[in-house]
Amino acid sequence: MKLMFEADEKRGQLEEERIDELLSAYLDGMLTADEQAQLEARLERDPALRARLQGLRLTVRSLAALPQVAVPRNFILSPAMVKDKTPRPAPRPRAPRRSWPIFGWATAIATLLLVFVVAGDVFLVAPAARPELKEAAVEVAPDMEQETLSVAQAPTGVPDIAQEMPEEAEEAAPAMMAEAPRDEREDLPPATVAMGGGGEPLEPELSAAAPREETEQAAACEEAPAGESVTDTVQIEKQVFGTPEPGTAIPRMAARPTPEKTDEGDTGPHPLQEQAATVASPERAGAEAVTDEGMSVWLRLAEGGLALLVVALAVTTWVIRRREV
Amino acid sequence: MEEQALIQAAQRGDMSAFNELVLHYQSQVYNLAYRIMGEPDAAADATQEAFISAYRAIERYRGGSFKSWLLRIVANACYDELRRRKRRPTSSLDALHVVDPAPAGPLVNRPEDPEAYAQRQDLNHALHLGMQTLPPEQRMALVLSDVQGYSYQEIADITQASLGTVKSRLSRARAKMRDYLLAQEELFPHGQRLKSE
Repeated sequence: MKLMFEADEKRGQLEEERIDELLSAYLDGMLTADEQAQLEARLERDPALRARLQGLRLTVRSLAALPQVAVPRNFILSPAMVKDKTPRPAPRPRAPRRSWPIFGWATAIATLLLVFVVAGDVFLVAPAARPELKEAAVEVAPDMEQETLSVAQAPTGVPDIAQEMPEEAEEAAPAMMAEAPRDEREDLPPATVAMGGGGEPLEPELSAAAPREETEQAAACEEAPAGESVTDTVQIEKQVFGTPEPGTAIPRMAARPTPEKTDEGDTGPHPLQEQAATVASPERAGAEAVTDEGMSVWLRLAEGGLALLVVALAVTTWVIRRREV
Repeated sequence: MEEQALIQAAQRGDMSAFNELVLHYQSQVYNLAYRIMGEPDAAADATQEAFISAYRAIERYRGGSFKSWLLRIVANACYDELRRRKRRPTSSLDALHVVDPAPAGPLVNRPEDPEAYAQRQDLNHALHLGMQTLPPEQRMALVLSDVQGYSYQEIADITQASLGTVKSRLSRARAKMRDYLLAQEELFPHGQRLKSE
């Protein structure tokens, strides 16, 4: 309440000063034509304002009537006066002490910085850190994995594709395999060895995709947080590679996937399986969430600090400007 | 001798030429110093310091209004003297004993009515005391404008302030003087009133 009263009082004082400034400029003929017309119209209907103007007018006239005082003596110089014991440079006309523009510029720069930081937060960082987007990414990952599983469980897809291959390629592939020495065949990647009837031309692509998938899966495993559960890893592996036959070891993520252990008819990992690895897994989303959250905290701190600085500089500029007027 | 010739001679080291300029301007300079300092002794000190500084700086004068250039030096000398005296403040009684110096004009200029003359003297004394209550920058603007008749632009050149600053300082000084005189309304002759009609 007290603050409100003081603020009102201050506002009233400023208004009074503004009116006096108008009246003073009016006395000196320093108003524009519009300002003068407005003031004269107001003077006509406001007797208190007329009285204030009259008071100023009398003051100015009285000051102008002050007599000139006689000089008490002559102020002519002598060489002794000018000659100084300690040589010093003549005082230069002092520049006006106007420090408020510096603070004004500082306020403007701080405001610009604040705008940039806020804009960066809103348009660059915030979207990446929004929880709803992260949840959507996490939801996509299971969906992609489900798709991968369905593809792996649909062995008919590959033979269907294989049947579309040119007959010459189908005939050539077994011939090529027959010609290759047994030792070389053993050196070939498993995908090639297991190659049977159809789909041969596709398999080199699929087998080439396998090492790539293996690398990406390995990278995904490395990115996973340290606290990931073994159960989650096993489940993902099963979804990617399929349930192994009894007696065979479950392939580890870093190991080369063996097509013979997948479901019958499936000769290799499907491209969609790669996507399942590259799509943001829950573990990766968690890691990103931690990084984004940390960045958001720093941005908030920076925004708060800059906002305080802008306010402090603006107030300082105003105070200094008032003092220097 | 023409002013420009005197200035050029002074720039060559001719002290007698500079003293011609001193004699020409000393009344204006002393009156300004007197209204700013408020007392004759301090005004004399400031005036002498101003002329000494001006002689030492005359070589750097590059044209323009010599009067403005000189008054700028006087204003700075007054500010320096005020700061010096502020560091060594005088007692409050000394401040009250302001002896009005003799007027510059001859007796024939005074009003013949003794009562009006006495009233005028009281008013002048009150105006002088009222000016000493103003901050130095506002006092300077008021004296230069209303006592010595300089324009806004000339005041801006002398005080090295912007026109807006000059306007603001002058309006505040006038308002304060009006309020100061309102408290002593009996000083104004019959028919002249500061209060609302």
